[in-house]
Amino acid sequence: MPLTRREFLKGMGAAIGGVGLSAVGYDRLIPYLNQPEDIVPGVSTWYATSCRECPAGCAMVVRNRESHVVKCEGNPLQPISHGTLCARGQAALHGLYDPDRIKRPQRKVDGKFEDASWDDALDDISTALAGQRIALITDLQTGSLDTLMRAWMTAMGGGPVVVYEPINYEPVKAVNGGVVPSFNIADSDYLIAFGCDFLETWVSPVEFAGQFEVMRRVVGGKRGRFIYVGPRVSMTAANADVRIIVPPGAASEVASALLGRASVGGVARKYDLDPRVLSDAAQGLASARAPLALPGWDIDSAQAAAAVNAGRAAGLVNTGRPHAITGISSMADMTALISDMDGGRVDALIIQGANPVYGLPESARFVDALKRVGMVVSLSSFMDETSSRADWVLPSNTPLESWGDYRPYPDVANLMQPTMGLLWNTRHTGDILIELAQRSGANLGAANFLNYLKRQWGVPAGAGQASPEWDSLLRVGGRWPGSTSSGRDATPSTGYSSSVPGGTFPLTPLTPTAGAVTTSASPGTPMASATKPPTGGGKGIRLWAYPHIYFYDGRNANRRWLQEIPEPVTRAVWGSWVEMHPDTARRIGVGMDDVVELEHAGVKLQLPVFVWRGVARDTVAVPIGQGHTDYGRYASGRGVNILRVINAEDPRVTLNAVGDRQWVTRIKGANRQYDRDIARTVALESRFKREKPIRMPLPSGYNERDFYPGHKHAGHRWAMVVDMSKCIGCHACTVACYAENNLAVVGPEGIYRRREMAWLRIDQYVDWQQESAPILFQPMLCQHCDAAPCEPVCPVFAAAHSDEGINMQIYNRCVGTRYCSNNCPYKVRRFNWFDYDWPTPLDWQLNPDVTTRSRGVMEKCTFCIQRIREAEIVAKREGRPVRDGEITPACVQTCPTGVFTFGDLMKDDSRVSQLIRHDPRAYQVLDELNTKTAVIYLKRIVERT
Amino acid sequence: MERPVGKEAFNNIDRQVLQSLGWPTLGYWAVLGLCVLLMLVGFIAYLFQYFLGMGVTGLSIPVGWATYITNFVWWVGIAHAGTLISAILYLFRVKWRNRINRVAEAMTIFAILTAGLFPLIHLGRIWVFFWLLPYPNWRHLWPNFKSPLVWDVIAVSTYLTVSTLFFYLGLIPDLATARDNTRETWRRKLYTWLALGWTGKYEQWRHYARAYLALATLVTPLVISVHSVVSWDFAMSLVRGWHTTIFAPYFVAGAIHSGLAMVITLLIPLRKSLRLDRILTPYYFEQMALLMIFTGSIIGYSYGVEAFMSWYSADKFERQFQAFRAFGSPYYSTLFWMLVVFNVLVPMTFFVKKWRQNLRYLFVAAILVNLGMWIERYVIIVASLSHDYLPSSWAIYAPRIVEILVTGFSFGFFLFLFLVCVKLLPSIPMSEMKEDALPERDRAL
Repeated sequence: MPLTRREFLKGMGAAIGGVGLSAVGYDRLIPYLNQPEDIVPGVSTWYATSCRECPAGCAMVVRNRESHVVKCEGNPLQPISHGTLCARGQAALHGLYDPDRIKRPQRKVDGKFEDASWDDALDDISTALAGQRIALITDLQTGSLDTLMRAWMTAMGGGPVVVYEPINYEPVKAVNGGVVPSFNIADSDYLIAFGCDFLETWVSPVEFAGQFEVMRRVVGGKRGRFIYVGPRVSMTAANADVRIIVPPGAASEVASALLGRASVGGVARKYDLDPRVLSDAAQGLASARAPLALPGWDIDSAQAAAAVNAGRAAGLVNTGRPHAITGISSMADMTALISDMDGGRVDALIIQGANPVYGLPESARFVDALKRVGMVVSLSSFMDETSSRADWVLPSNTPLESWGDYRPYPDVANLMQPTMGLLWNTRHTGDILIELAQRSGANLGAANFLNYLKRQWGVPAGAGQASPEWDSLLRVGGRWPGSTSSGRDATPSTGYSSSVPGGTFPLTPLTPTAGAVTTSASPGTPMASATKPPTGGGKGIRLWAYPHIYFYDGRNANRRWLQEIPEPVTRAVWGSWVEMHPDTARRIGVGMDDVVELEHAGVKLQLPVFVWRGVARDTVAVPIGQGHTDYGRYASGRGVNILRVINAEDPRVTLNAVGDRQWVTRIKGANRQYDRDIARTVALESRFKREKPIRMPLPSGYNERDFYPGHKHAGHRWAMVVDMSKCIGCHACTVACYAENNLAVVGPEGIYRRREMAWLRIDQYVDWQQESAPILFQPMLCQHCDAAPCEPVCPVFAAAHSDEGINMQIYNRCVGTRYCSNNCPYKVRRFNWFDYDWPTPLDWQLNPDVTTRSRGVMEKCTFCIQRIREAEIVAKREGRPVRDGEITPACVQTCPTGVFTFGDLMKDDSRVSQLIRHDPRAYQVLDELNTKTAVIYLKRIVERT
Repeated sequence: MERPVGKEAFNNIDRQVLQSLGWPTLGYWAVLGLCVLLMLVGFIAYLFQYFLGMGVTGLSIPVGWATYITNFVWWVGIAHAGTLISAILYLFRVKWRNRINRVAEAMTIFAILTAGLFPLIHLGRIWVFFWLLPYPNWRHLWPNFKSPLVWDVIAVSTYLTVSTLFFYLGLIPDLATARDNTRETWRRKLYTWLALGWTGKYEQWRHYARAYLALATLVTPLVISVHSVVSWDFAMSLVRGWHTTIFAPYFVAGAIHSGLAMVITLLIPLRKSLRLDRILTPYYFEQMALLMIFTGSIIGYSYGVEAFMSWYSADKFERQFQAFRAFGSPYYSTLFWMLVVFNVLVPMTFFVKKWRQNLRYLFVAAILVNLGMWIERYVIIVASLSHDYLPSSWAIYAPRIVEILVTGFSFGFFLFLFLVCVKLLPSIPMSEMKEDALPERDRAL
């Protein structure tokens, strides 16, 4: 058939059309049609805001890529976070992206929730509220939202406002004139913590960790000494020089002995302590220049701390600068409200952010009282125990989507701004309240919460009014001493930023908005399971419920990163457990992983036993935070909620073996060193002696020993120094690594099968013979060996060496022989056993700069190569070499105590080179294998070895 | 009784051997059916692994290799006896090999085929297995010749090629005999095609003898090299319990040990079911049992040297590892002492003449040695990985159902091939038996 020109063109047209149509399948690769002006694909925008995962108030900067936030980091300008975050702060993203968030307003009809529109909801509620007796329970808020809530309550009839937190620090307030003061640990030279886990959960852990690091620096051959007195060797206690482990309620007696008011021998005998340790501590206290005692969770430890501080620590305990925690209402206020509710004197209860159903003990009878309230409205992001009992659930924005402010101290005010657009049909709590007030005919003086906020901060609030001051506040992240004179941005130097407009801004005085300081005399606290001194008879077993380092009071339990990361001392994950001393276990007749029934005042809880020497005898320790019945897929039905049983008059509980076994889900592996010299220590006096010098720069290819020639390095050779003396074991680095590098979460089953995916883990070595440091924490990540055992064994070159000294893993070349991992003496490589899932919207958190790995390939630490590249590109664009310290891998960036130093070995003056050359503590783990690691450890300094 | 000579003797041999190619018995079909079942179940289990990921196995981060690699090493070991019997014993003019070498060679080939599956099965991404092969590609990517795994690929595939050629070459005269004696058309066609026009002319015999000798010489070093290379998968790494220079001879001896045991295990039932008991007299088994005393002694010596060297090195990792393996873990230590008994002590009972001449005893002992050799590889691979350098990474491994079923697949696969083979091809080398029947002066070799 002859082909005419016309037919040819027709055919071509059809073919071209077909080619065009074939692209329809790639629906996710469509570029912006109209690109937003402030979004450049591939370039991050950083927003300064405040972390609201706990009451500490760390300022942070949040990285937004293509309109999704992907990473939280500390705001380097703010004194509390000092540029770092803890594990919980890193996991704030998982609050925002929680797959179980409430997505739209919910109305309860016949015991079931139904979707409703905001208009219906607000109409209904405002009608129902008219002329009613309203009460408000809120979590701890300060600043504008706090002011607004109180103004709203006044406008709506002036009912009670209870600031409810399960952990209310009443004992601390009781001994400090009704306030939680600010503590200056940095300037102390003798620190005694009475059951106070200030490096984990207590008041402001990131701030205190930073201060603790300063206090522990060796200056002139000396460093601050740290004594821990408490019922359990917590992570904080593991960092002490001396641990005095006594049952709850014995802290005052120990304090008396330390102060010389009671016989050291008597106390030592009573609690089975070494009298030399006690008298040594007492002498140290007497001769200390600036001793400081920190009060713990219960009234006994608070009184002990007060006794030690009396008259001596005046400069270090500042009641004139109260922490925001002071604003938490007392248990008495809550009890009063509950009795009002129970008596039918509350018609409508608004619950904002708080979860009292979970946090209050059964004995408080809150759930029953709640049923007698006419209408319960919950303003919350999650369908937790309290929300699920409400009549209306109004989904509020998470902190990362919200305007707001938070003032941890009177002189520190963080400004919060939305870091991305709203994920769901949710609203800001402030906006909901303003809207409700408007519909009820009340006027709070602002059309929306943003205007209200601006007014509070003294900047023009009108629409279209440009305010350079507001812009500057948003850039800096708030106001605090030095915030305006720094002239810097909170944005990390490697990120995209424009500089702050020049000049300084007048510091407008803020409206004083601290929450009502209660002066309740009752020191009853939910924490204190032991307000009574121990009976000594050994009949009852005392319960010590401690806030879990990652869940605090249980609010963070649905963050799966936090479930997956091991609790630092027990290394337990994904569950609850009860810790007890081997002697106690023997008495009850149980062993590791046996299930016991813990009974108290009629409430029975079953949980598995974790036996170790870190708990006082006749005491059992249970972490707070698990046992949610409603919250989300990661928290619900997991473990037990110990908060249900505490706060009773009698601190003693009954434990019975039930004959069942349940494995305490924990990271496997031995925690002894077996003389292998892996985590090394050095005595304070002998710290200048170097056993075996490290050749610098690290030699690449010893001619006499190596079969293959050394690597050629082009321009850089990256290395890291890990100072084990600074490592407190908090795992912030691990979570930062999960967030930065898209690490998968494997769940309890994966942990059981030893398939955890952490690229950076904290190894733990326990030796109770080493009195000054029985528990050693050792961050373990890819050592980026110069003679890497993984590289030659890979049959396809998936493990390869970069010319910048990085041991690379090429995911799409990997065939999955796992030989590299077998041959890695540090076992830092991780294999993708399955295709791991990120339930939407958790997948929106994935860092677009890092490939996600598919099943069957090996992965491991890359030294955050994406950050290295970013810094190199920025430096190249600016026509300068990369500066030392400019590159911060995620772990380095977030470490609250500055354990990690990262830099270039090929520069003599870089900090890593200097440390390796001059610090006599430097050593390489398993150096006898001649792996020539690029990660150099500094030995932990201990009092005695 | 006077031995028949000449044509009559040859006809006797032909009859006895070729009758084994007759219609199979019910028992044969039953075993064949079992093999198919094992293969089917194992394959389904494997599909789970293929579609879900390696997570369905019991593997973990310290223990990245376990059952699959154990199977690989074990099957490669099995593959050694065949070539040893046909090539090395041939070069040493050991006469008793002549009646068993065909079975041993067939076993070799099928064992390598089975073994070769496991490096593929254990890959995380089997769909890109060909990246391990050196083939030209536009990315100019080559495998890493430093990696023992690439050496493995080369060594095992070479061994498979050469031993297949060797097997086939020895088969040609017998194929011709089968061709001339069969009545079934399809068989005649098959044998005609395979026999390559063999007529038994003098020229053909001369070439045949030369080629056979040449291939025997070529395959002999391969027997040594293949398992040496396999052992280097371990010895080249720095895992304690793997990293030792004794591994190559130790593995080769172990391979021959297990291979001989496997030949005994297969031949004893075979001589019954194929009615070859007049050809395969207990004499041949006794010879193999004697050889196993030798290989068993080498293995026992190796165990001793390994333990001694780890003590003598004064290396704390070595010493702790040896102590752990022998005494430290109820699970691994039990297996460890089991393998010492099975591999060393059981063969030592062959010193007793009565026992080694008892085929039933020999059969049980051979199975124990097979089991012992499997456990040996398992303990070497798994226990060493379980306790490596950092105690924080230690973990115990136990196989899970998918691994067990896939292991079952390998047995089904191997036995299936073997059973089909003995019914398809003459399993006793007739030509060599005939040569034995000839007067000394008439022998070609």
